[in-house]
Amino acid sequence: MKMIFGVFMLLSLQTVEAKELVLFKAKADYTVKHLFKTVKGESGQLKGKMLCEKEVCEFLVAIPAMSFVSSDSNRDLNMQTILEVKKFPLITVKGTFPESNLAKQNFEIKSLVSLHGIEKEYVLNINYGATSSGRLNLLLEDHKVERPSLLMAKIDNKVPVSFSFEWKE
Amino acid sequence: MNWSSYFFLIFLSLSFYQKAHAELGLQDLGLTKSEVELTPKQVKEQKTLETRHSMLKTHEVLGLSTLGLMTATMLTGGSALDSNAHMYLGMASGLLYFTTAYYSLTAPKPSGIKDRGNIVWHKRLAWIHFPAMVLAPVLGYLYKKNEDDGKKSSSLVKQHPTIAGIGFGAFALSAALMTIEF
Repeated sequence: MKMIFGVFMLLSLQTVEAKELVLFKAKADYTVKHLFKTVKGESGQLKGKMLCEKEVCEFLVAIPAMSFVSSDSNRDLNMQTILEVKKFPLITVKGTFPESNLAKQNFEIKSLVSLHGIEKEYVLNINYGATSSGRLNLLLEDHKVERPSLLMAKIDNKVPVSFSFEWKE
Repeated sequence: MNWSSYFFLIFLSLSFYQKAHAELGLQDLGLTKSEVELTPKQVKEQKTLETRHSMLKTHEVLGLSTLGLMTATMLTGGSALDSNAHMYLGMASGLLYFTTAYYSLTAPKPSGIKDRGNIVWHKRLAWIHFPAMVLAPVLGYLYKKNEDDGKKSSSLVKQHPTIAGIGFGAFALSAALMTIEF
């Protein structure tokens, strides 16, 4: 009987150890580069959670693909068309990393990014602090995204994406 | 506490344990079903976006072709009374211009989209080049007819080159505004 009670207590303690954090004040922006110009778009509609337990943290962030806004509404509609936002409404980033990384200011995480319905692995560079930031370089063709062109020249395949965020319990 | 109570506690504890160890999923982020799953309405909206994209691509190609023809028409304006090249180029420009306009005016637009950026001026300039493209061919026809008949043209008819020039300028500017976007 004591053993069963012990198992129960142990399992309960393990549950208590898990720390759940929610994304807060988060923003993501992309930069599209072309021979003649550079365009930026941003979204403030990120939702995310991080779960840390047993010295491992797991996170998941989702961004509605439609929520990215640039300075031109026509360009945004083009972006929504090529990303097929109605078929693939969310862009997600997920990954795991050792909890000990949170004591460092800069670290890298291998993360899985799902864009246009295709999941690919990227290295996410994190600058951790009161307000953290992250950066990764998306490769459009890896996600089968048709690159828009301007005067016969396509935009760069590499699209840097930056995040700024805070976590709260 | 009897045995059944202990088993219930263990079961409850295991449930919490499993939940805490489960991989994070979209449902954990508080996303609604419509944000995650595709609805028939969204499929229809994607089709609308694709139709719009395709029609505006055609609009873009036709618009640039129209600009080329308009340029040639403007360049042949000086010899309009000696040959028919200017007239035929003008007719082709007009035909292509109104086809270009058709693709723009009939392209479906998703509801709730407010125009921002260069598209605003691209549309505003149509208020200049559209009337000019209606008026210029008529005035050009009358001008040539009067010249052929040896009649004197009215002051409005004589404005054919000016009105065509204003239309060409507004159209070229409108095309340039969109060409620097993608």
